[in-house]
Amino acid sequence: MNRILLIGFCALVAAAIGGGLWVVGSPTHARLQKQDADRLEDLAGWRSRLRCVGDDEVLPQSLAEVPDCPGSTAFASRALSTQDAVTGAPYVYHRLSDQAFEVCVTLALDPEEARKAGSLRTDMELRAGNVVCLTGTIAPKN
Amino acid sequence: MANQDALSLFVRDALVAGKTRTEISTALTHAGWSVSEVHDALAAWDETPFSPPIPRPVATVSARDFFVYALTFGLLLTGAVNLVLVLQALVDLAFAEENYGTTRQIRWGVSVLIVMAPLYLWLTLRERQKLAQDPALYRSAMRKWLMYIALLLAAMTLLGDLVATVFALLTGDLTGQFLIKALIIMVVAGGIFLFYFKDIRRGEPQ
Repeated sequence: MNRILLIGFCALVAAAIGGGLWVVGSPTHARLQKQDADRLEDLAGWRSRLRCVGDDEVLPQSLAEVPDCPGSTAFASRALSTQDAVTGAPYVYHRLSDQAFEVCVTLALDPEEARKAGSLRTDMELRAGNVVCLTGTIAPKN
Repeated sequence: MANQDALSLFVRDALVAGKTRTEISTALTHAGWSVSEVHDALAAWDETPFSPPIPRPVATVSARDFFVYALTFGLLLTGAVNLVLVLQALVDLAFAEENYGTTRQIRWGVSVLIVMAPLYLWLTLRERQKLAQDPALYRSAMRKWLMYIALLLAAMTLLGDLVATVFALLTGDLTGQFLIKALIIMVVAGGIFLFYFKDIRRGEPQ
């Protein structure tokens, strides 16, 4: 009886370990997931920073020209890189008009995974080739 | 403790002097010892008519036992909790659309199981070998205490699981997902209870 229970428990533990590893993927996969979460965090940070430009009424030509956002939340005023920390590729920034913009980043994994993990915001747009974009507008001063 | 030693010594001397157990019991009760103390003092000596009286085996306590059994039961407790967490997280993933936080929970649980399960298995099998070689180890007080604690925790978990299931039924929250998760707890806690319940009876005096 006890031998059967012990064997049963070993099988259950083996199943939990095997099933768990199969579901969460390899360490490389986990690393890529974390990198994608950081990229999406940066994307959201850039949008907050760009929205801050509203008082100046004109969107800058590049991310490097985006001024700091003093007095804003810690999230919007944190240090942001203009490029992907892993690949070194610059984050894509497009001025759609004087008041509208979009920032985009290419993820390493299918964006669907980021959505399931909760790091993809509902207002993020999925484009072809694992590209994710966030659009935004600034409010001109009247 | 000194009083208990004196009592034990008295009982031994009385038995050596040829006094019957009834006489010894009467004398001790008259001297103010309680019935349970008298019973325990007499039970420490075998009833075989042999002189000098033969002491019965008593529970032993050793630092080595504390280390081995506390470690084993610590591993069991941590491993069982994480086994349940991993299995329940897998059930959640099968039912839920999002896996926010679940994959992290699975990674942590799997890490715990990878380290602790083989160690628990090794300690348990090693202890079983030792018990087979020397049945005197069944008298380890530490082993008995920790086994009863494991039984208590397993029984409380089973009862809590049943209460939660009935509560979910009464509140209309009894879903397939809930049932499977409750079943996982029942299998793990029930298995542990059966395992140690069967095991502890081996060491009990016949």
